Amino acid sequence: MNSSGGNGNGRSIDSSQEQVEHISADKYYSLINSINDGFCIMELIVDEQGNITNLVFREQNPLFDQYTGLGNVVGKSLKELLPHFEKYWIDIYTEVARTGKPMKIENYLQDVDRWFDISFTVIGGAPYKYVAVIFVDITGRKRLEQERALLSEISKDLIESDDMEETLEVVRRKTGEHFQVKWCAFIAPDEKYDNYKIRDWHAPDVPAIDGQFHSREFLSAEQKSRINSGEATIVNDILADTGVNSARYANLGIGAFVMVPLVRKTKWIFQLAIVDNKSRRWRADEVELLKEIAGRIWTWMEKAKAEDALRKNEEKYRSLFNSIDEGFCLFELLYDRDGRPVDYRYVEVNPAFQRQTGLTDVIGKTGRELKFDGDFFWINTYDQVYRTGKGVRFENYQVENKRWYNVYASKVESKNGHFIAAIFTDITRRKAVEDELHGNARKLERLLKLRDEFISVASHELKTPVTSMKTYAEIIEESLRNTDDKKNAEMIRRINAQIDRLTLLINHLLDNTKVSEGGMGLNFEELDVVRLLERVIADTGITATHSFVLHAQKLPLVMADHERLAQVLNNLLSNAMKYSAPDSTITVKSELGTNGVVISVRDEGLGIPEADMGKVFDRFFRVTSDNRDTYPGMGLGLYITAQIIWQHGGRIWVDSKEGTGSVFSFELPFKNQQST
Amino acid sequence: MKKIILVEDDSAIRESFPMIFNANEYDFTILAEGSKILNGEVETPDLFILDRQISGHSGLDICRFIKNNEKYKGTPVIMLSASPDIVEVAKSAGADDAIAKPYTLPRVREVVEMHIS
Repeated sequence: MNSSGGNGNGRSIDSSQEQVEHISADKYYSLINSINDGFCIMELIVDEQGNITNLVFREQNPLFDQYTGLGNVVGKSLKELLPHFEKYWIDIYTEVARTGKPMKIENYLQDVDRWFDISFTVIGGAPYKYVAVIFVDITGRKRLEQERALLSEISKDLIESDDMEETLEVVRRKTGEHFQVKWCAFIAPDEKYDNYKIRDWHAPDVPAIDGQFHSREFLSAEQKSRINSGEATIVNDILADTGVNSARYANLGIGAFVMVPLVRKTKWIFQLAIVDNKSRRWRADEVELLKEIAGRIWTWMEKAKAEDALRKNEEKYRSLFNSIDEGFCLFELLYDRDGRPVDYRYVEVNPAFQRQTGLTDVIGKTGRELKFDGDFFWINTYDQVYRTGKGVRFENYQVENKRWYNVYASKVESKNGHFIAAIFTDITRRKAVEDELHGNARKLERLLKLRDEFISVASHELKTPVTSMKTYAEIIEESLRNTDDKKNAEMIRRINAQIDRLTLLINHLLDNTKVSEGGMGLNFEELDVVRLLERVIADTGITATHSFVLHAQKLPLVMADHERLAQVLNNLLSNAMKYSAPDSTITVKSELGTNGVVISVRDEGLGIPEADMGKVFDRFFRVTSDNRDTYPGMGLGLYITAQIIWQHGGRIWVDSKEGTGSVFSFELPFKNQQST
Repeated sequence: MKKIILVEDDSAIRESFPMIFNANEYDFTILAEGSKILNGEVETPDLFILDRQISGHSGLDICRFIKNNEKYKGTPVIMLSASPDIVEVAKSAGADDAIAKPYTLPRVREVVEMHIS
């Protein structure tokens, strides 16, 4: 470097001493010109009192100009360059000049948007006249520090949060302040992505941009696709940007923004935006920082949601656990070395556990400790539940406790042991009632069987004397008729009629027993119903007080039990006679029905009250209205009649009008439709 | 005169039975139980009338014996019973017919006349 070069300030080189100095000065210049830091030497201008009033630049290196943007300042005073320069700087120089000790500050220079570490060192001896100033660019470090501080602060806010909205508000404010923007906004779409909602923090000097916005107005196709692919939208100057709907944003007073979307499963969940009211050149590290914040918010929101759900579940479970009347216990199955289940230990029980078992203070204790080792049913059942993973419901008697329990046991998945959850109720009382009921039912069954057996034997035994009574009466009647003793013959005929009634009653009793024993054992054969009808009417007609009319249509054969069907017709005819006035007409009809042969018996009698219509085929049912005479009978005739028809696969019904008469009808299925 | 052997343990019925018919129409041998038949001690009649429930042996067993016995098996058997299912049961034991108790005189006469030849 030659002497004319560098940043000369009127040095004279005229002695060897000076020459040495010159060499060292050259070294010195070469050094300060080449270092990566800004450098300048300031001369202190002092008044009579020794106070610094101004500063004059005496030396500078190229980086100084670059850092400060002040150009060549050598020979110029600070007041001249920056008329309003801060007293802050004067104070620093004053302090350095007073103590003679170096001083270091960190400062942000807005014009170049950089942070500097600035050190001040006095040159020469006191009173100090020159101060050397070195500017070290610490912007990168400073930003990292600030980012770290912001992130750690935000993280702390999120962690300590117990109110999502409130926390997001704080995060927005801190983010906005950090970036020194006018707005920081949280943008969330609705379900259909038609609209989105903005919650903002804004600087005091701008209005809020809170509210609901239509996606189609604000999001251009380009911006949408960028959002969905998870890319940030970076707008440095809204008016110059063609990728977004500039006019819309500009209308809100927006000059520049960065929006960072959080995308999950191809859908964006929210966007975090920093927005300024004038154009701004966003740095890559700012975008990265915003992304980092958005990521942290997302992680926290997910965690908060999961925790919230967990807490709600836990609360639900807890309150259920404590309030249910069923006993609940969680216990661990204990196995021996060979893998056999040998015991269990209570881990948790609910308040009802004590009520249901009468046991207190069981947590941590094993079944053996509680002396519950008598019945291996329990442990084996729980072991099975554990091994199969299938819940089991069972009832078992606990010997030690002398109680019956209904238990539902299920496996609890855990890596820490073989856990089973059991929910149970004390059913001792119910069991007792059940046992009693079962006992009663069995007793009742035995009694009913006994009753039927008794009726069967009794009616059988009754028939023997009835048989001889009837035989003798008939013999006497015949003999009286032979001797033409009509008066006595008639009396004997009446005795005979009563014996027949008695026989019918006995048969009904027997049939009833047969029905309750499960059927009357029919003998099916091909049968001409009309012929049977004619015979039965003829037999009845001999002694009848009523007149019979038969409207018979020729009908196909049916499969039926001859005797039983005759019994049905006899029952219906004798009922018709019983409940209608003597000399009235009983009309019997046979016709073709849709599914079979229909026989009906019409009387002109009392009819059946509507309320009783559904009961006439019931066992032991008898019409018992006050304005009627009492009619004899056990209430078995129509019951047995219906049973016979049903056993034939047929149906029976009644139409009746009180005071007009009744029509009893039955239908027997055609031969090929019958299943016997 | 046709011979009828009646086995019936109820005396009233037993004694009334011949009165159903004309005194000189049939020759009735009346037994209270069936051991004489089972021992082959009775002459083969023209008709057996057996009550189903008699002391000693069941009328059905006697019927089966008759129907499997060389000496008696050609003789028709009529069962008497108070059970309504007698017709079926009697057939299964090999009887030729059955009369349910209580019966009417015409019914007894009809059945007896039908089977006695």
